[in-house]
Amino acid sequence: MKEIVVSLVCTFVLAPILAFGIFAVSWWGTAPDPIMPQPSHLAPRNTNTTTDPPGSNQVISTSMRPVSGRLLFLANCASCHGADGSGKGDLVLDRPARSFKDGGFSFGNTLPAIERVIASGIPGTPMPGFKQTFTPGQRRSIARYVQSLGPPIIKSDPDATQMVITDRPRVVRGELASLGADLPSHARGIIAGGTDGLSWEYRVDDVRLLAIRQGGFVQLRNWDGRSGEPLLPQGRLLRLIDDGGPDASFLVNGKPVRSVLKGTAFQSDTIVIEQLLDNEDITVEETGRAITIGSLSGYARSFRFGNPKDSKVGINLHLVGAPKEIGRDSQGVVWYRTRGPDGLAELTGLRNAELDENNEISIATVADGIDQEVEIVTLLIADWDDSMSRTLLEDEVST
Amino acid sequence: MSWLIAMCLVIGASESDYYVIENIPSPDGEVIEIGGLDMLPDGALALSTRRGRVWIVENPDAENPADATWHLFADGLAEGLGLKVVDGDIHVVQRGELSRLRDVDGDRRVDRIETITQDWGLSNNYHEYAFGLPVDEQGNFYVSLNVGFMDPEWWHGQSDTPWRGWVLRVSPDGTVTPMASGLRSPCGLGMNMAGDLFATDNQGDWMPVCPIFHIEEGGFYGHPNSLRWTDEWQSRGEIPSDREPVSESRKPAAIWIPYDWSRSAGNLVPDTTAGGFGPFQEQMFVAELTNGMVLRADLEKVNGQYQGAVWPFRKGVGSVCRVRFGSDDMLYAGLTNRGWGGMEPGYGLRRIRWTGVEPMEMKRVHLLTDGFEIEFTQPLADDLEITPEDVKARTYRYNWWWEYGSPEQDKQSLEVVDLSISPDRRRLIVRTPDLEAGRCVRMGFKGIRSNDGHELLHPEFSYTVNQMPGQTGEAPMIAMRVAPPLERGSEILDGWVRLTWGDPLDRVKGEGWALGAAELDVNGQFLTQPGNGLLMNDPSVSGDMDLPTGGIDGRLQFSTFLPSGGGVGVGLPSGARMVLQDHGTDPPSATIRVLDSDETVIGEWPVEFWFGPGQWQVLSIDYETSGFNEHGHHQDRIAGIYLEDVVIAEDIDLSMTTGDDGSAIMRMLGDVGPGGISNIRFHAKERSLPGGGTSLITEQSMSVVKRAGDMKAMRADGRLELSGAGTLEWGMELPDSFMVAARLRYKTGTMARLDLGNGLAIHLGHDVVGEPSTGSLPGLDEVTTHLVAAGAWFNLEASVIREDAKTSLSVMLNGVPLSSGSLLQVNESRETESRPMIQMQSGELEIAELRIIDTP
Repeated sequence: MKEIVVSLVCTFVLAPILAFGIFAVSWWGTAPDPIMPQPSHLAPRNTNTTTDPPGSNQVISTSMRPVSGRLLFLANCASCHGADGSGKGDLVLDRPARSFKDGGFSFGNTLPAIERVIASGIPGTPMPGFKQTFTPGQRRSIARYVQSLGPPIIKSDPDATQMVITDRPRVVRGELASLGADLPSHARGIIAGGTDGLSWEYRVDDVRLLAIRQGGFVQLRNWDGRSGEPLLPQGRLLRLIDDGGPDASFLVNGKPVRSVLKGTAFQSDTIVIEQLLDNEDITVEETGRAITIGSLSGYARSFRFGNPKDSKVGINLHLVGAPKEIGRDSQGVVWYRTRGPDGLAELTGLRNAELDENNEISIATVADGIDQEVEIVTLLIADWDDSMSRTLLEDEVST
Repeated sequence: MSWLIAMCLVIGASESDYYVIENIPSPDGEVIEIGGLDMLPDGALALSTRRGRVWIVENPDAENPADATWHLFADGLAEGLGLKVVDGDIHVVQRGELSRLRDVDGDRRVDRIETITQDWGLSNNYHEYAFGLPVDEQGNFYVSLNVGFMDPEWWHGQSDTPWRGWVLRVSPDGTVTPMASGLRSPCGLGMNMAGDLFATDNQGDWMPVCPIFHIEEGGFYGHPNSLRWTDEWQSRGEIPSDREPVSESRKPAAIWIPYDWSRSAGNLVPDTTAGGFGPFQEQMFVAELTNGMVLRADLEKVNGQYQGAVWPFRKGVGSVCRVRFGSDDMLYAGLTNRGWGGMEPGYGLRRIRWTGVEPMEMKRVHLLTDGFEIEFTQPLADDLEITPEDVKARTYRYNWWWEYGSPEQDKQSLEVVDLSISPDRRRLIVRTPDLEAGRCVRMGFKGIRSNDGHELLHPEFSYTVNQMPGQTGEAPMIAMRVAPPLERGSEILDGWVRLTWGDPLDRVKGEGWALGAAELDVNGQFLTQPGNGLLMNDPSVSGDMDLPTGGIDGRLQFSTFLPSGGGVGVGLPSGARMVLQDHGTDPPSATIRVLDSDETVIGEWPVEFWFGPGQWQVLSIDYETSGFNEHGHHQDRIAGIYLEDVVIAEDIDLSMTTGDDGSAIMRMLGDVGPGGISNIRFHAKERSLPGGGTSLITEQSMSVVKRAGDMKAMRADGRLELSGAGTLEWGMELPDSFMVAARLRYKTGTMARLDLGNGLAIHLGHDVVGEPSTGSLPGLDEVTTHLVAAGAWFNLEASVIREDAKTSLSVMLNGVPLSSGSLLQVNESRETESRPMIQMQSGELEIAELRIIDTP
């Protein structure tokens, strides 16, 4: 019994140490030292020979001319993984190597994933790291070869990853990439697209509108690899809200509040973003759509509030610069003009809300009442001229 | 009938006689990567995919599986790795939220996606999956969260956002209660017939193999990083180490699935078919991706805790991530692979149908106080005789550590002393009196057959013995707490200083220690023979052997070989002592004691993993010369004592009552013993080099070097590689006093020296024993021990101090001061300009860092 135990210790305690010792010794040479040098070794002698450990096989020098991934594989990997990648090499391992033929990849079958495992090995298993042995180029060529041993990689059809809106609005959840150099990405995001060609990008943790786009919808990029790829919006950027890092969307009794996502609902032509204002019992249903007024075009955001306590609710207008009032149109919409982003001028119309300033931030204060609907219309124009006020105040809104 | 030929994948001829695998074709062009499966009230199947889609499959039980029809119910979700139908509504756990998908108008298309909760942390880490989705009788949902895998140290799973590595309970109103911690990649949740919750996990760091855990409120299941979100760790403001084990008590796995049967486990479901799926009613069926199969588990409660047996059930299914019994007695299998290491096919929907023929299988395994009672699906053949030779059984444990998985440890064969068959020939009792708690058993049979001549379809089972029936007291954990591995495996020699390798008595000198062969006579006493196998002491005459590692935090490690009744002692810098003593008993036993500097016994521990006299074992001590205790006294600490990597004791505070006398010296005690030691080595915890200074291996520095001889010098990846013979002299002029900070490695047989002007030099490399070795200072201090291993990176820190005519040089290797000397020179004989130079005689030397730091 004791002998068995000692032999096991040799196998599991000493052999790996020796194995890695040997591996470490042979890191550089064209003719690696076959065994750990033990000059006058003051080391335990009961190194019962066990199976040659991985890494003790010949390592092809990095200084030689480039060789194919296949040759490198045969020289360095095949003793454990088998010449055909079946996992049946000549060496007997306590935990057998993967069968690449069956798609047995520990950490993914993408090229970077395979290269990473080749470089660092798998701790605690007989799979050593080959970072010192192979150049990145060699690791890449081995990875390519190893990948080719496995079943064909299913590449997603690029057309299938392209979400397109036809007769029904769509909503997609996923990670949002950063919208600017100093801006964070968002692990939780929503992009809602209407049949009018506008799409609305929200970060979800506190439900803030980040961007409005026009044109294509979204490409899904997490259908290859193992996930973690952000959504790729396809439309032209129409408006970046507060440069992509907006303040809270809503205020209650003058204080910014967090909004919590309650869901998304499909309407015939648009998506409703349903929210609950945190610590308040105020619900919000938010939608957006494209509009034109005369020759001016833009978008309108609608907010339907359920406000049982009739609290004072404000909507952050995210305006750039101080607003100047233009006038009130026949439908009761009051129009303002601001400097706008990116050298444009911006026209804002408020229906069922009043403009307020709160610490130099323009707020649309919602009219009193427990059940109110507010519309905020935004038109972006190159330059303001006074003839536009006639269009605004007299033309009908069309969508 | 052509569909039948196309759809019935007959893989593994024998299993397919009983269980047939049928493919339900996916819609054209669709890659269905299934993450959740459940049945709708009308018998349709709902499934969610990693591509964020939800499909409804009508007629999944159609006789011809191609007659099943698919409807896209929803898309645009952020993955769906769990799906449950509650009150007719499809619920999906997405990466960032748990959602209810409402079809208000009944057109099989989602109309509202309601967020039940998004109250858990999510970063951009690709591996932060959310899995689910069992529901209990109160309507609570259960969700498990993967830890993140970083780059490059992906093998250390991290819980960087709240509740990563936890199982969460989500009440119907969305309230999230973190329920259990310590999971790593808990891909599969499921409830048994009793409504108890189970989770599988995936082998990796802190998960030796894939487990099946019984998830209990407040349980900690072994992956430490997730504990950071507990109140206790939050209030301490600390994050659990990803390398050191934590002291929280762990819940054992109900089943550790052998590595050859599972490497990536999915979910698990009980057989609710009441016989419609064959003879395994109420047992659990487990999805397994890597081996492309379904496993079967039979759990029983022993002393109130779940544990049990596991078998392979059906191979060749494909990369099964989810299983679910249909109302039609079929087991539906949802496949997913993409990057998860599953077996082909890697996506799609399949179903496993029982042919109605009962296989000859072990139906149940029941643990007895001295063995197992095994129930078979069919009576054993009347003429069958079975002897212990027909049974192969072994037991083993695992290491609980940060390395990726664990080999089976401490494997022992398990003796079968008796076998008896019940009168109805349906049960076999296997007597194994040596069976102990805290071990896994793997048992296989040959020759067992039923009356109609069928052999066992699966002749082996594995049983996880956390508890023996009737046992009292705490059972040892099968996943043993062991010494944390210091380094990644392939770099295991990096950072060590080998104090007795090569010339064993150069750097450590002890009066009365003899070098000899490791042999014992018939009485178990040292047989003194010439040799270099070990250093032996004689407690009556030997003095202490001082080591140069006092005052440095790190791991002291040596191999020990004791005679019967012998011992070995280590004197610690605090003045305390650690003594390992063999008791001279049969069977062998030993204890380890730690005595404080005033001889108070601080602790005494039996050595459970003691091989006995005449056997080498490796002892490690992690020592910390930590600061001051609450009374302002210096207080050193032993962080851990390990024998063969098994923890003997941890967290021992040493009081240092006797003041400074003899402090800061670490030594092998001469008066404890007799005992044999070898391969004394030390791994300093802190080995960082001083910063700053001028690098000699930048392109700029290298552009002005003078070369001579045939030496090749090549810059690669910011490193300098030297080979052949010759010299390399830098243009930089050395200051009077300075430090050298270098990170180096060399190939065996390398002889080189770093010249530092005025005759001062440091030898690098080694060849034969007796010749100068790394750290040798020619003419000042000859080092003949091979302190650092060829092929391993090491840090060299040298200090040159000039005071008037005296110039001193001292050298540290891997944080340990190992050689020094000083030179007296009158000013006139000094070189006016001295420059750093490397002289190569032979071999290959690689330099990752080489800096000169002026210390005026």
